[in-house]
Amino acid sequence: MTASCHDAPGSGGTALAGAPVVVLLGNPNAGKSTLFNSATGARQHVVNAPGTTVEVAEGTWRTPHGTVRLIDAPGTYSLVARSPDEIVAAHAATGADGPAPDALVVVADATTLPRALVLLGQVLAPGAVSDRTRVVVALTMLDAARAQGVTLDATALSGVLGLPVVGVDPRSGAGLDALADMLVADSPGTAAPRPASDDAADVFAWTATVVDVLGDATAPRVRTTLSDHVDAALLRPWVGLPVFGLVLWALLWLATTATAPVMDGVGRLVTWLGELIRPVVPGPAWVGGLLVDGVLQGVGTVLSFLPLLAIVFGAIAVLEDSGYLARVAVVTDRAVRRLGLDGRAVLPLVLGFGCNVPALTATRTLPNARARLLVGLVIPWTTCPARLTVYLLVATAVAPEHAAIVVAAAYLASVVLVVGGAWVLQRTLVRDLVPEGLVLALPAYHRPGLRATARSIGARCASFVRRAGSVIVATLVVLWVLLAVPTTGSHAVGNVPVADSAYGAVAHGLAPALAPAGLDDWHVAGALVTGVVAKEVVVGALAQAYAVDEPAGAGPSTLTEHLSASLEVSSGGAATAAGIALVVFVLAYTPCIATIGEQRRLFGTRIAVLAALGQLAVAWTLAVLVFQCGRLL
Amino acid sequence: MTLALLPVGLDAVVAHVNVDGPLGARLAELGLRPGAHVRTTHTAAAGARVVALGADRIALDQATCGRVQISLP
Repeated sequence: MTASCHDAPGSGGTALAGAPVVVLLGNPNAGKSTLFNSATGARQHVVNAPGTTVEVAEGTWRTPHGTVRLIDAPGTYSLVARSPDEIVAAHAATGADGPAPDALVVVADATTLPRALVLLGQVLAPGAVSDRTRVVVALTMLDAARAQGVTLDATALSGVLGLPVVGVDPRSGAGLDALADMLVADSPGTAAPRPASDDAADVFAWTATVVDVLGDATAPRVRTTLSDHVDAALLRPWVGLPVFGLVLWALLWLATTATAPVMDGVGRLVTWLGELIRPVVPGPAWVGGLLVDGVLQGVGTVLSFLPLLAIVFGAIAVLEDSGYLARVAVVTDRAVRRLGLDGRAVLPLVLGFGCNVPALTATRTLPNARARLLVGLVIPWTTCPARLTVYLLVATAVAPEHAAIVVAAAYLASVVLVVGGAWVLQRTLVRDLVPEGLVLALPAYHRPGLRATARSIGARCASFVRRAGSVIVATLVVLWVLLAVPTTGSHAVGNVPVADSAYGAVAHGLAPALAPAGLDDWHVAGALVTGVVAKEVVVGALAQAYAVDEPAGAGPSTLTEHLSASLEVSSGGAATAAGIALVVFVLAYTPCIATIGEQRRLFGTRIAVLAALGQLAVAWTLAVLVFQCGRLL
Repeated sequence: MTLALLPVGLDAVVAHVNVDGPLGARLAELGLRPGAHVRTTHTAAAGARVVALGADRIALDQATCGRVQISLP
């Protein structure tokens, strides 16, 4: 194997500069990613392919012949790319974005070999890939194929194709050494015919020839399988939809109830560590404040999300790898097809009502990067439980008799925003996401590889810490500085009443911008700023601001009374309309910083920032509309 | 006759696929080309169908099934 020094798609492996680059290419569900996990173990990371939002896994494969930089390209049926994911896969195979890879391993599922041969035929067509790229076939799912009557073996296929072919078991890693040998061994010769050109007709003709030569060894008669029996129930709406409902309920439970103790535990650990560290930090008190309330709090926030992400990501990976998610796409397809999405989009959208962050993580189950972007942009409008606390407070303050109706209306408005937002985006920013008919290969059900899933969870959690974590920590440090720096009065840094802090000044400065929505009040404006950190803290920030502004006994006694009195003043007597406008604003505006961080990890900084600003604009517009219409009623 | 009318469990041969553009190309890449032997294994929600091509299973919506001409062997 010759060494090369270049960056393939999804580059970033500077430590491996000079190592040969091997790209894994194959149909979705061919066992490619499991093979990648077995080959690289923990030596892998997930990055976005340059200039795209498509995730590519890269890793180090230590073979008996030396270290290899292994790239797991997105699954594709074709080199004639029709989606961003397929473009990345095709570019990884052909080296369209840079030097060609040293080797291309076409991972072929033996149970669906004729389909895999189409992709292989495109690879073997004249000029498709570089002459210096060695092509090897890794045959997976041989056990399952034999059970279905496929008698094909690697040697026979190698003879017909004139290519190195090796049987591998992606889960156990059996065959990996043989695959490594094939990457350096002499080619069995190229006397076998190749497609005449990369034209589809020539590729299909070549595929048909190969299948004919292999005969019944690769094209078994249709047999009813266990998967068929399961599908007979799960694809029926009256069974499939309730089962999917149960799965969603379990996921929501995992995202909320089950992970809450773990997240609380991390919070308590951070508090305990803070109390331990604060007294021993040298220098003025504000240094300890910065370290504990800024940096440590930020790190704690990042860490508190990791168990949640790991559990939800693991659960989703199991659902996907088992083949179940493809069935979800079939039974829920019609509901979202008009938005250019397939049924798999329902899962992350529903998950968003539990927590937006793992919901964004779950968008990776969508096969098309444009669909992931569309869903990822509307997920922040699914109203998470953190926002419910604000709805309840505001509803109790301005419409105590109808609080339940206000909260229910907020959830309904959330659904309307998601559907309406997706409808608008599909006709503007994501116009290339054209609704098409349902055409979906259904993989046979199988037990997911737990080791591979665990490794994949680790790689994605590390990616969250790296890309989203930095944004979260930086934002919390900035917020601490705003709260710690006095702008009026003679206070020490780090010990400032909210009203006299830079935070208070910012809130006073922003409040007039909310006047058209009847919310020209610094307490409200400040709490909304804090809500960008986490929606959970909005209520606390309001309570803190009112406690500072009006000490006990000087006015209204409860938080709802304080808020009601504030809104009465800021709205010029239309407190109910202003309260509902506030609910709409909280529902629609910039999501929490962890959500923005995850959006940045998935879609890049530019899209994350534009999305946050866009949502702010939508929230302001809707809040103004609601208030201005509401005050007339 | 189209695939949309093929009863579950019955075999047929694809005669013509009247689907253009990327979707037509994807169908061909998945094996749904003239001459392919298919069998409807399931009907699903909203008139969708699952067809078998050897060991492969492909879900198609009702409209797409209606554009795949078949002949019974």
